[in-house]
Amino acid sequence: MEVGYVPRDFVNRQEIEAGVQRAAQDLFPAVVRIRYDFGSDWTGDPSIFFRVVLADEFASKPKLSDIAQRIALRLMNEVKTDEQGLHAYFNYRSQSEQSQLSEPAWA
Amino acid sequence: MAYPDQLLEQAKHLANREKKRPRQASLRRAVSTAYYALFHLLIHEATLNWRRVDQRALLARFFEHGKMKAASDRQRGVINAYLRTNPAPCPDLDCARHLHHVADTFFQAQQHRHTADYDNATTWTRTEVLTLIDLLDSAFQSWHQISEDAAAQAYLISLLGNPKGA
Repeated sequence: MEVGYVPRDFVNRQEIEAGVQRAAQDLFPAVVRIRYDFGSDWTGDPSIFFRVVLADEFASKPKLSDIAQRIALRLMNEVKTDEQGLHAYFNYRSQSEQSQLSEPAWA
Repeated sequence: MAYPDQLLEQAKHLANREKKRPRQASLRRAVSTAYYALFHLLIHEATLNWRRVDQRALLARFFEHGKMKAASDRQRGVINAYLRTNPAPCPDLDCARHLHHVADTFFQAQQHRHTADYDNATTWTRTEVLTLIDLLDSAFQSWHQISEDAAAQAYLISLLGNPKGA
């Protein structure tokens, strides 16, 4: 869990949610779902932390950086994180890893 | 093998150390080590420009994580603005893409390193860690493509902080 507080009116949450949904649809079937939180990064800058669940067949590919870059680019373009004044950070896990861990934040 | 390459290799080793159930300690150390691989690569490259070889290690200690983060963020912003102009294919565009990848990966990895080192509430998975390591591996390759370019060298200087008057 990231600590920090991003004021409610600092970002347009509806726009962000719509952007995330568009990105998730575009990135199917590689991406199973995308969750996110607002907070501060380690230097205190307002940030959005994306949690991306990957389909197992994509998570087991050798060049994970390719799909990670594609997902990050799509999310940043759809959500317009720069225009929202947010740093974007990305975490990835496979569907089977999430099934084992059952973390609500990723569900 | 150079020290940054050794760190990257060690990160891969740690991420794959346990075959079935990776220990959190292995994954956390892998994340941190992978970040430090790029951290030390960039500092090493910057200090190579210092003519007095015996003082390079001392110079290296003047680099700070926070200033390097800020410089990498500025670099990403400048390149993003350039890319939004839809430039025609050219060597400058290739360089910009590689440099953006290096700066962006550094920026991401630094936050992950902070989480891995200090936030014990976060559970890491092998996919998360291998993705980060693969990004860093790719950033190493990008750096070696552009290391002699003027823009890349300017980025190295910027890692020390803001110049006066900026």
